[in-house]
Amino acid sequence: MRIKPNILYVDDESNNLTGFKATFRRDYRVYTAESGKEALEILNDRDFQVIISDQRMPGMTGVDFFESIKESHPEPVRMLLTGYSDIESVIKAINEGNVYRYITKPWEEQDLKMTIDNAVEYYNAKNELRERNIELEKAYNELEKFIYSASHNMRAPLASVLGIVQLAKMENDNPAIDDYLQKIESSVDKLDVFIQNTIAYYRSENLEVKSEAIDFKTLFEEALQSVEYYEEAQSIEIKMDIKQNNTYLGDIARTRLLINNLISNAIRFQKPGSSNKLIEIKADVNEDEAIISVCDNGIGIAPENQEKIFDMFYSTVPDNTGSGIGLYIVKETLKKLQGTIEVDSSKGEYSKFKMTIPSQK
Amino acid sequence: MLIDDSKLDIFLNKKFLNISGVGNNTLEFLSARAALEYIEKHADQSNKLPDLILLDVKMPEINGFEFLEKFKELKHKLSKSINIIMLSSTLDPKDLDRANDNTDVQDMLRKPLNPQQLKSLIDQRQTSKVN
Repeated sequence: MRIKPNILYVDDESNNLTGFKATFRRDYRVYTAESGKEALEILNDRDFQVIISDQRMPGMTGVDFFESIKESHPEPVRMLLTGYSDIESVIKAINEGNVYRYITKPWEEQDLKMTIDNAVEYYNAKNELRERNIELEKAYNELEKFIYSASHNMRAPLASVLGIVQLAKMENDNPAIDDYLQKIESSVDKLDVFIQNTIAYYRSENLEVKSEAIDFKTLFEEALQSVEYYEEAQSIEIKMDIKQNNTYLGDIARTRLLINNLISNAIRFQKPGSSNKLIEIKADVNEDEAIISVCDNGIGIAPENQEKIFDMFYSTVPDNTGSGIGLYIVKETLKKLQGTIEVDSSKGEYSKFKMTIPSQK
Repeated sequence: MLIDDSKLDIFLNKKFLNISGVGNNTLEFLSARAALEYIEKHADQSNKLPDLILLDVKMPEINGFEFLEKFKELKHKLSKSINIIMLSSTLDPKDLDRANDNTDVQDMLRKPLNPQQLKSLIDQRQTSKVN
């Protein structure tokens, strides 16, 4: 059973009201009002798909009436009944988005019916879109929650596996087994990095961007402390040059995420077996922006890949120890902070990542 | 003393404790409740109490933080001071803040435990005690 749409017709001349109602009551549920004021009371009682208002009314014109209900009743589709002399003001209202269509007086029944039907269709389409968006947002939030909790549950047993492998390496003296252990550790580590990155990212995703005082020297020292005991970090020389003279306001959690990811990559993409591994960290911070660069002398990135590295799950070499998600997270997090990142790299020689993060005042 | 609901992690951490040279005598508890009962029972026996507790954060029934609350109530009865290091699989920043705010906790480490990191923490503790 098709439900009849609710139409509200506003006109100061009661003959018009009766005429309209008589013509259209079979097709729609028609409500009438003699003024904007009366119309407002009717609007508060039920939902309307379409409102048709005469333009020329004493007290409040049609355009003024629609303007007055812009915030309180945005959903109904508005149409204006007008004579040729009012066209100017009506066109302005249409362009400002307040009015869907205008109808010239005197109206012709078939034309008007078609216009009202179109307006109802338009209302339904907008409504469906709004509801679809709400559903989509809900589904996305559920997905995020799932990913977050799944990641937490995955990390615990993974940490145990990593621990056992590390223990086995310490206790083992068989070189063949050592090789297997190394390979297990590489694989598991890759998964672990992915999970930890995912957790950190979704943890921060929904939070509002904060504005807190950031001391970059401390942030970098903490970042280095957290990788201090990693095996791959042991043989790497790290140079830091942090220039910060004033207060910088930013989002600590997100900035930390960015720095940790770049440092982690700089460690992971070193040349295996090299004896002069180096990471250079530079930061130039003033109250408007922070320019941070992390440079390593590792395996580098080929020019054709330098854009692709920011894609989710992109992986350059088969053996690499990256998780494929780190730089994607960096890109998305920077977007949220309105920051940018540049890559400068030469395959086989070095990689330099330079981020510019505006302060979040 | 090791408090963790995972037998595997207890096995691992016991080995890591040995490797880091921290101690050979370890007490193991799979639940915070059992650990609290033991501590309370031997409150006045220094030789039966641990010097260090490695405390897992995520445990069913009584978790790491709830253990700390109950431990605080017991503290005054104990015949020696006990150092506590918390262990976590995920290092949730909220957990980290909670751990930092708690004066009984020296630090919170991410699993898997790293023997060198553990040793240096314990050495730090020793030197600050001496000072």
